[in-house]
Amino acid sequence: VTPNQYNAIRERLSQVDPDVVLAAEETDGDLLDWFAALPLRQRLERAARMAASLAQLRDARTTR
Amino acid sequence: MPVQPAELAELLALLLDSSVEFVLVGGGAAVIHGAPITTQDIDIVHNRESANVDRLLQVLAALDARVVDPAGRSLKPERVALSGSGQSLLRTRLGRVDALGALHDGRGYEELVATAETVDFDGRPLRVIDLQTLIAIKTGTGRAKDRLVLPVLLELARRRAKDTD
Repeated sequence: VTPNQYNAIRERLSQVDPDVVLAAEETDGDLLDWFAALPLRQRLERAARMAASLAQLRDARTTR
Repeated sequence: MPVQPAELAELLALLLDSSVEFVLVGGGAAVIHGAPITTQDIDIVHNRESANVDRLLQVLAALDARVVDPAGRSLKPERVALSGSGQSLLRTRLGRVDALGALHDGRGYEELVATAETVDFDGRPLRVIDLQTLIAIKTGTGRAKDRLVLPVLLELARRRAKDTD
């Protein structure tokens, strides 16, 4: 993504959904740095584990 | 009983090792681009040429794939569905695969592969939808779950732009 492309994306989102742009500015940079340092396989494995944990929580809530 | 995480990395590796031509899209693509989000499936837009559909069907058969069917029937994936522009939502023993003939805006494999990024996935070339297109698509769907991911994708784009500046 070049700076010009980024500016175009941001401009478009500002028009369509300004809250998204505001939320992007509050994104946890440390978390992104940590995740970016992981090998691709580990990124997918962690994403799937997080999804499974959420599904577990949902199941527990609905069966309580 | 604990919910077992999908083995998405193994699923991807198997598709790549079987020479199935596809572009990774959706949440899996966002994760590969560096978005720390959850995902429980692999979304692919595959090449719908006959030989590639053959390879995809072989992998799906090896994974005991079944169509996600609201009526609960046990249906195997069909060539006619994988050859068209629609979606085949499939459950396999390694996790869910959504095989898309085209995205909701009509973009198919040929359009997406032209701008896709190729990354090294454990020594295999993996084609992933480029970040700019991914953001455009997630902006266009209007779905709440896509809107939630957009701030992270936008920040990733900002960081990349900064790196290239």
